Amino acid sequence: MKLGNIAIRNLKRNSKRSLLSISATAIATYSIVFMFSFINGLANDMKDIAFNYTTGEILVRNREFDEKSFSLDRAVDNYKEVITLLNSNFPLLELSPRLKFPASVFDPKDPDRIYSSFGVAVDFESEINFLKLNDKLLEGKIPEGPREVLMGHGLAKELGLKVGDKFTPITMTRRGASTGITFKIVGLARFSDSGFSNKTFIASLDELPVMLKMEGAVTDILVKGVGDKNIETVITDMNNLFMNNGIKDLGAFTWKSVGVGYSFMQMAEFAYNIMGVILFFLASSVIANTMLMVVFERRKEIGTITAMGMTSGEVVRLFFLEALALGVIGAGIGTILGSVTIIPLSLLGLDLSGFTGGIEMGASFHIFPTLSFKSTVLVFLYSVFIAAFVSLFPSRGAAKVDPVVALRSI
Amino acid sequence: MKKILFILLFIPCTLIFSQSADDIVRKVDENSTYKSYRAEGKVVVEGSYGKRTSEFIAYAKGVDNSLIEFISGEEEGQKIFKTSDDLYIKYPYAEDIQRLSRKKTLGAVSYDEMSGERDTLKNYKTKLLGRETIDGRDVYKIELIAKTSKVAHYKQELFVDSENFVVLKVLYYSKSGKLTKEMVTKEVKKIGDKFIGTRSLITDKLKANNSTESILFSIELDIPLDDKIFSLDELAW
Amino acid sequence: MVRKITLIFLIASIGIPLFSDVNISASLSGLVTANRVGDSDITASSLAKGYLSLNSSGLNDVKSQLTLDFTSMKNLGILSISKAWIKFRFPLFRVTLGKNRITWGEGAAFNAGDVIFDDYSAPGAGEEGVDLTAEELRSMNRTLAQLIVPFGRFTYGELIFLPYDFPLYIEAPVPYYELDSSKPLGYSLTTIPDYKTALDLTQQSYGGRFVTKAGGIKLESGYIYNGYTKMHKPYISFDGTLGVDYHLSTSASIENEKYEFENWKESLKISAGVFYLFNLEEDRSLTLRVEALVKPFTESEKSRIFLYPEISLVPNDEIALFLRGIINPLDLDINSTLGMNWKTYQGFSIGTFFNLKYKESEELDLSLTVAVTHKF
Repeated sequence: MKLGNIAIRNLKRNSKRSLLSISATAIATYSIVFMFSFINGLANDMKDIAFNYTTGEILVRNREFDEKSFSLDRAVDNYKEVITLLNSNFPLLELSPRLKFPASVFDPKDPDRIYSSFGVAVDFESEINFLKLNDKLLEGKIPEGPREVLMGHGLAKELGLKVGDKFTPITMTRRGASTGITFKIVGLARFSDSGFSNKTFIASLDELPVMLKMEGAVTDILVKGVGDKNIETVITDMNNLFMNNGIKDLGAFTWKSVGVGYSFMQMAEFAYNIMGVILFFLASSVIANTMLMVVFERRKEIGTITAMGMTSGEVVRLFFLEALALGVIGAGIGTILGSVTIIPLSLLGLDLSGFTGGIEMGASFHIFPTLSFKSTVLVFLYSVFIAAFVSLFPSRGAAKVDPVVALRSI
Repeated sequence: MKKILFILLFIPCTLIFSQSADDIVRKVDENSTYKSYRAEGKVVVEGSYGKRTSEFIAYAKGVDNSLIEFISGEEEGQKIFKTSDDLYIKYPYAEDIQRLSRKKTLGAVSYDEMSGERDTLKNYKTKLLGRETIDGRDVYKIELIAKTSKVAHYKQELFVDSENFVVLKVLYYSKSGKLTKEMVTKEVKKIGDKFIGTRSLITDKLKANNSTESILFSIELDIPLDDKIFSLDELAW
Repeated sequence: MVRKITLIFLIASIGIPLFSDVNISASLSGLVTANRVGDSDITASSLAKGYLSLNSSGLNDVKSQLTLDFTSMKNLGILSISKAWIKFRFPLFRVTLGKNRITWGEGAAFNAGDVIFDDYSAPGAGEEGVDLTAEELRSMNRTLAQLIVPFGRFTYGELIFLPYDFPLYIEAPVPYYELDSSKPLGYSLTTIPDYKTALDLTQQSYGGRFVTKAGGIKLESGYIYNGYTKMHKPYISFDGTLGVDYHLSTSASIENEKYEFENWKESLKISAGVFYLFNLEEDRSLTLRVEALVKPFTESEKSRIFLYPEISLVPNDEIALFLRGIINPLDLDINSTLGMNWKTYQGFSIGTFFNLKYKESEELDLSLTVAVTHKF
């Protein structure tokens, strides 16, 4: 009789045991597949935040702008001309001019208490596409007038404000004079970026630069729609364009080089991968443990079959084949189940906002787990390999044992 | 015995010195107190972003009430109103009035320094350090040491013109003895029977290129001013 | 005139602190203590201590702190690192690594929920590990790795790993030789660093806790396995407000594999406390605090209950007065401190502490400490 057939028959013979091994492998594989997809989703989410909220794929700003002191005097002057220039040379790219400024809000009841926040002045018309503002709106409407703002729902909660309320953040003008501006909240929004949700209010670019004594200027122009491959060439082209047009103080920077977003993302990805690897080993040990248990339980059987004349090499191969079959079935089920859960989730997203209770955690609460074909196949192969491989050790040991001893050992 | 004699000789000496230091400070306060005034001038602020200039009109009545209204520059439209206890600011684009409490301002400039004579002697111990010459003027050098923790500067050195009692220079020190700020009066004018500093420069000694210069172009003293000017109502208008 | 206008302008334009980078803080204290133990003569001692602390807060998602402590007494100088930690935050969780202060459970003087530090006593602390002159009664730091997963605004789970952090010395026989001889003459007991234990994985401690708030009550429950003493230590702690602030904690230490109640009932601890703050007019405030520690099954009958009353009065923002003590109502042992702290100028303060210890053996110890502190 062929070893393969014996193996299959053995699996059928003790269906409970087989089921246990299969489900252990399946659960482990499923967890790994899910974990990696989740990590993928988180990474994409962070990228999405960087692209839409903080830097864009390319950030155009004054070369001397200093993020730490928020030097508004180092701005992008005549931004409308810069936008026109960029639009005519790069018609396919999405552009978003923004004027970001730090602002403090005093607690009306306790004037010694200060809340720090950020104001961002935007062109609402273009942000409806760029930031998908309409989808983010929780309450109220998109601002229309110059003194109307859309506020992050977290900031509104912290300040105890609601739609229709007025507030007066204190900020600085371009050359460092303090000033205060009274705004009316006309809408509340929840953004993917927790910084936007919890610290930011959004005003219109129409008049704010005037109030901050920086007519016609913004701090940033965010650029989207470039694509990873083209970033370097587009940046070179943009910088040349600025040079040739005499706008020497402006520079185009990749999102990877501005701010801490990219390095933070890499660090986070590293941390998640470490967690993934830990889970991976845990899962592997579950598979290995089950397999070891299965082989040890069957030492008596090994004694019997060796007594019947099966060579030790054949015994090892038999167990290997059994384990391989179990592994393929288990890992297959795990992978398929994983994919079946991930695919709808990757479309619908996983809403974690209830889970974290709205705490600022540096990411959105809507994660779209993403299945990566390559890693899924690798996880499948790895699980099968672990299952089959670990069975080698005990079965080899058992096969070498004198049948008499093996028979007596139980 | 010799020691005791020395101490006995020393005590009246310090008494005389400290009394006259108090007197000088009192005279300085008297000299810089007016029934009322209206002045026009400008401030030139230098910071990391370069220089900016703003013009203002200042009103004051008595020791306690003063109002500064900016008419050009980055501060244009801003009004600052000071009473004996509070400082209120109205920004041009703000609908409500901001009140600056002492806590918020502590550490930058001493709040009580502008509150008139009562507080100078109440909050500081004075000591006459000697006489010096600044730009050919004979000055008293007076040390002010804070009595409470509520003031911004632990120690100040005042250089007071011995003839007209105008403060020509102030050095501000932190507790560790570090010079933090310097104020120099660069121009003194006689208006009526009073000598008034019309140009002053404050330099931050801890930050490079950080100074504030104020220049008064025109001053009218003891003119009738409506009380309404010094009200929150007027500020919010 | 121009000076006043400039000053007003400067105050108005200070603006608001919009950013902060590295904060450095340091403090230096000199202490002089006069001591009288029992009937003996009065002795005096003095020491200087202080700290230097560097705080970074420039980045939103990464923070760190380094605090160096030093104590100098006679010709002895001790420099130690009391805090050295990095915190970072990722979506969904945050991590603290390094040496940091950590408090589980509730309670100023008695905290049965403090299952991490109940093996320790604070430097300068007497019975029950409390230093009565300290601002924070139980202030201890440990090397740790901590992972916190928030589940809501007041709810989080915490996992903690505490590497071996006990005194790293053991007594070991070390041979001594006569000159020109390779044969040891004998052995003497010497303290040597105990690296073996320190690195042994089974000596490490770990655990976790879950903190939540329900119906206005903060509920905290956790568990530590201490690898060095081989003890399992579960605890539970409540904390809420019902007219007054109150807290209640209980914990036990259960030796590995000796799980019967009889084996661990001695270690059972319960602590409870109430706290009330009267806000009098202006800056004045009066606080009252009473805490109790009960060890219902402990062997020595006379140490089954301890009380901690505290009354403190802050008549203005310069002076703080307090009277606090630990009282054993069963044998009337008292350890009490009357203290006054006077903050004169910014960062400069003078503290005077009068300590009285009365023991059952009718021994009365008195000490008076004057501490001058400058924070800069």
